[in-house]
Parts: sequence; structure tokens; C-alpha cells
Amino acid sequence: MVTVPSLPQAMRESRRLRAEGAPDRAVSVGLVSNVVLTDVDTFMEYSLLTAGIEPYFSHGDYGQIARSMARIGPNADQMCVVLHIEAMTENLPWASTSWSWASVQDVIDFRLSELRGAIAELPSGVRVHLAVFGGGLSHPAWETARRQGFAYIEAEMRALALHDGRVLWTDVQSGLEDVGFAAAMSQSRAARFAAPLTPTGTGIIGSALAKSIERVVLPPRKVLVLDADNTLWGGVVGEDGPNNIDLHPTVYPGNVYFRAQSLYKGIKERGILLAVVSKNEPADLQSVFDDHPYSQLRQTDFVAIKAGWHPKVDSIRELAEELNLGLDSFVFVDDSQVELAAVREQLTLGAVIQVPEQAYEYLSVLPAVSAQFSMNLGEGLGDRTEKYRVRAAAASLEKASHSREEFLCGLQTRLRVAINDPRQVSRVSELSERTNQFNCGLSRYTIGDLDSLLHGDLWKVLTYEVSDRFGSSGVSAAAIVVVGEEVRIQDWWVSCRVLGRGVELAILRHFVELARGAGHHDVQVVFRRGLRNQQVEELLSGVARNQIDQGGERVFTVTEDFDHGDGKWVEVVADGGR
Amino acid sequence: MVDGEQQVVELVALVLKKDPSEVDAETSMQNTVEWDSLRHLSMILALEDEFGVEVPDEEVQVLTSVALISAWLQTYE
Repeated sequence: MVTVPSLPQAMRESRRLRAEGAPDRAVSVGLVSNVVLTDVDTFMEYSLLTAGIEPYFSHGDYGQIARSMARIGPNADQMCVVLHIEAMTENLPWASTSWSWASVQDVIDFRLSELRGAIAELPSGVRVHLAVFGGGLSHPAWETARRQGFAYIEAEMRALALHDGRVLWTDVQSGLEDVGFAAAMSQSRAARFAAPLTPTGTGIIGSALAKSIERVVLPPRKVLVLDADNTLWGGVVGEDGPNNIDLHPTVYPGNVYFRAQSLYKGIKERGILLAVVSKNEPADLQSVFDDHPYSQLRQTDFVAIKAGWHPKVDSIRELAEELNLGLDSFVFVDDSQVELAAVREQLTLGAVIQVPEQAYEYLSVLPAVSAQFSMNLGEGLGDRTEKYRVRAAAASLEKASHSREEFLCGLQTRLRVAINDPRQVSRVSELSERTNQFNCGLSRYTIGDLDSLLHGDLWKVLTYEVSDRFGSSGVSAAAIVVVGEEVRIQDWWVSCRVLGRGVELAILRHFVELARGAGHHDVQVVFRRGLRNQQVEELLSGVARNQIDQGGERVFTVTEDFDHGDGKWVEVVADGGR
Repeated sequence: MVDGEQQVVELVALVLKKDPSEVDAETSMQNTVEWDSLRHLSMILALEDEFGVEVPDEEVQVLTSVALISAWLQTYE
């Protein structure tokens, strides 16, 4: 269940965070609604500042959605549109028991059509976060109609999001239903101020919209790099010995570090990589992770443990190279001001967080560490530590090989392709959300979006499981393909952990084979330029027969005779998909 | 100034995004630009959240200054 602070708490925290200094990132947020949304901006400000984003808000006029979007759109980076479903049918007898959903569908269609028009008129760089909520305020007979209406609007808005990469569907309703309408909605405030939400409901909507913006604005955090002494336990293991460090479930100060380790373990289970960078003897760290009775983190929980006496800056840089991940996806936690200053000065990490000197203050810092990963998809992603270890082993082989050919041949990379495999929809959704570098079309897909594609005739969802002699990296690439009068690659993602060894070219070869099977000699690959996907453009420019601009997209034509390059070392095999 | 009034000053300053030193018992909707109708609604919600009270409809348009809010809170208790 979503937990939100009280309204005054959110205000106080925002004031404290602003007093600490302006974050590096700022966003201009437009907020429009068909009801009064008092203090949604307050909760958004609190969440965004916590995530290191400074928001500036422009407010629409209540009820004037299209006009407000036209007015504030040109100055907004992110446009939040919040619709209260009951207010969409304003002036209709919604409290009556004598009418059905069908009787208001025309009105809803008209409102949605207005909204589509207003979105189409927004400048191309504006991202739109759509949220719809309702319930709890009307006659029980309306609830059935409201649920029908909600499902209808959600389907329409998801379809809009699917076809317009700028639009994101933001689920706020499940958060409101989780806490219950009695806690989230206020009949009295709806009647008095046209403001149907309680502070709790307001907090839930503000928090969900902030998370949606964070996912767009912040590069996903993928690695949590931890110091050891006074970060994972109290004391200095090299001096105190592994049996005398502070780490205990109940006794202060060891209980603080015990809680910190619990949090870090939880972050790892959400799919984040943990690493240790510590100035210590490796054997000392090993003895804690292997033998300490209360250490919840074991060696296998870490993708890498870099212990020694090298500068931490060098160790972090080396780790980024081994994992092939950008430094802006790293979060570093350490207690030493000197180390933190060196890292801040020499590396541009996603975040650098200091563990306070007093152990009891550490507890108040842990939510800030957790918040860094709040835009990650959360539970259910599974542990990816082993997959990145495979990547690191391959990096070592590359260093030891005398030539690129020797390396690629020795790696024995293999792609197992599945088509429309329903078991992979969550992984494809995840790739669409998390992939920054090799992201061709920039669209995001929810599990629901992908489920609907699987049932269509034209769309194919391709997934590629990548393995090599060191093990499997799991499903590390996917594509959304339209097979009709032409074969069009609508979206294509390759995880950075398998890039740089011919995988992307082997997948392109597979696209061409797919086209050949459908009677075509080429494929069309749709590319949309983003902040960090220039390597896709470079790859396609190098192999495409031609390219044309269509609106905001560039369409590359790749013919069957393209140069397979490093892709020729990669074997592609079909799985049992449809 | 009584403690309750000081708490109200701090809350009003928080809602209006002002330093508490800029707010006193005389601060009101009439003499404070930032205290517009939308902020007033926010003020009422924050007041309800902070003090665990429910402001009746008829009081919403009345509680327009620090002094009036403080006095109403004393009555409520």
C-alpha cells in the first residue's frame, strides 16, 4: 500500500530539501484537471525534491483542460492531466439510479476527443502524464457505471499512449482503492470546494505523478555502490576484527547497520546491482560476508567487491566499464566526506549519498537511498546479479584475447528467439522502461499494452535470450514488429549488458530473415532520437540502404545484403513460440 | 503570543512558503498577496491535518487570519 506523509510533513520536508540546495535537475510541470487539485503539487514537489529534481509548476484553470493545456503547454516539460471521472459527466444526474454507462458514453467520448486534440496541439517535446480517478462519492448504483466508464477511458488512454510516445498512462486509481475511498475521497470537500480528494488521496495522486515524471527525467538507477566500514557495519573491520564490528539485529548501534543491510538486500531483490568499493583487505570483507552471524549480505549478493587501496574513483570507473553501464546509473553511499568529495569532483554519478557520523541519524538517510530506486519497476524484476557477472566474465575474456575475432569466436554467443511468448511480456515491458542506450523507438509498453499486441494479427513481439560460454544473460533484447504490407520494426531494445559483441547485428539479421519469410527483401526500422540513443542511429546509418524522415521519426531501410559485421559470430536459434 | 498561536504562525508560514519571521498574528488574507483563495483551501486542509480537527463549512470563509485561526482552535479544543 502506498504511504504518504501528512500535508504539513510534505511541506516541511520540501522546505528542508530546498534549504539544502537546489538539485542538479529541474523540470517545468504543467498541472491541469477538471476538479480542484489543491496540494497535489505540494506532494509532487516533496517526491520530486526527494529524488533530486526541482519542480516549477504552472497551474491550469480548473475545468478548462484544453484551454489550460494550450496556455501552459509551451512552457512545460511535463504536462500532468488529471481527470475525475464523475466530473467528466458534470450536470448529468449521476446520483440517479435510473441511467447506465451507455447514457453518458457520448459525453465521455466528447471529453476524450477534446483531450486528444489538446495533446496533439502541445509542442513535440512535452511529455503528457495522464491519470484518471473516481469513485466513492456517488450513489452506489453509479459505481457499476463508473467502473465501466473507467475501464473504457483507461483503454482509450492506453491506446493513445501506445501510439504517441509522448503520452504516459499513470495509474493513480489502484493507490486510491488500496487505501479505500473513505480515506481518499471526501464528499464534503467535493461539495464545498469541487476538491474531491482528502490529503491522503491528494498525496497518492501527487506521488504517482511524481514517480511518472521521475521515470522520464531521471536515468534509471541500476547499481548501488556501497562502502563497507561505517556503511554496512559500524567500526573498521581491519582494526576491530570481524567479530567486533557493530552489526546486530537489536543492539544499538549495530541494529542501525542491520536495518541498512536489510534495505540494501531489498533493493537488490528489486533488480538493482549491489557492489562494494572499500579500502580494506579483501580477506577482511570476505570474513564478514561469509561468517558474520548477522550479516544479511553475502558475497553472492554483490556483482563485484572491489577491496584494496586504489582510489575509489578508479574502482567505480572500472566497475562501470566491466558492467557496460553509464556512471549516471550509479548511486554511491559512503561515510567519508573525503571519498565523497573525490567522487563528486571526478565522476558524474546518478547520486552520491553520505552516511551521517552518528549511527542514529543513518536511519533518516535510508529513505533517500531507497528513493533513488523508486522509478525502477519494483518487485518482481528478480535478481540480475548473476547476469551481470556473466557480462563481467566476458569483459575479462576480451582483455585476455589477442584479437576481436578470437574474442567473439571464443565467446560462443547464441540468441534464442521467441515470438509472441506471453511469459515474456513483463520482461519486454521492463526493457521498454529501463533501456536508455539501445532504445530505437523510445515507446514504453505496459504489460497490458503487450497483452493486447499478442492478441493482434499484425503485431509480433520478439524476445531474444542471450547466452554465451559463461552462462545466460536472460532475455536481453526485444522488438515490436508489424508484419503487413511491409515488415516494420516499431520498437527495438537491447540491454547494455549484451552490447558490443555482435548481438545487435545478429538481431538485425534475424529481422531481415523474418521479412524474407514474409516475402519482403528489406525491413523498415523506426528510429526516434532521444538523449542517449545515438548509438542506435549510428548502427542503422552504417548498415541501412536508405533513410527518410517521417514527422518526428526516421525510418531506415535495411536490405538483406547488409554487412553482418560482428553479428556473423552469433548463432540465432528459434524457440518454440508461435 | 501563546504556543498555539506560534504553531499556527509556523503552519501559515509553511503553507505560504514564507519565513516564520515574516508571519505574525496580524497576517491575513487581506494583507498577504500569497494567501489567495487556492492557498486558503490548502491552509484549511493543512490545518485539519496538523491539528486533527475538521473545519465546519461555515468557518472556512471566516478563518482568514492567524489570529482568527488561533482563536477558533482554542474554541475547538
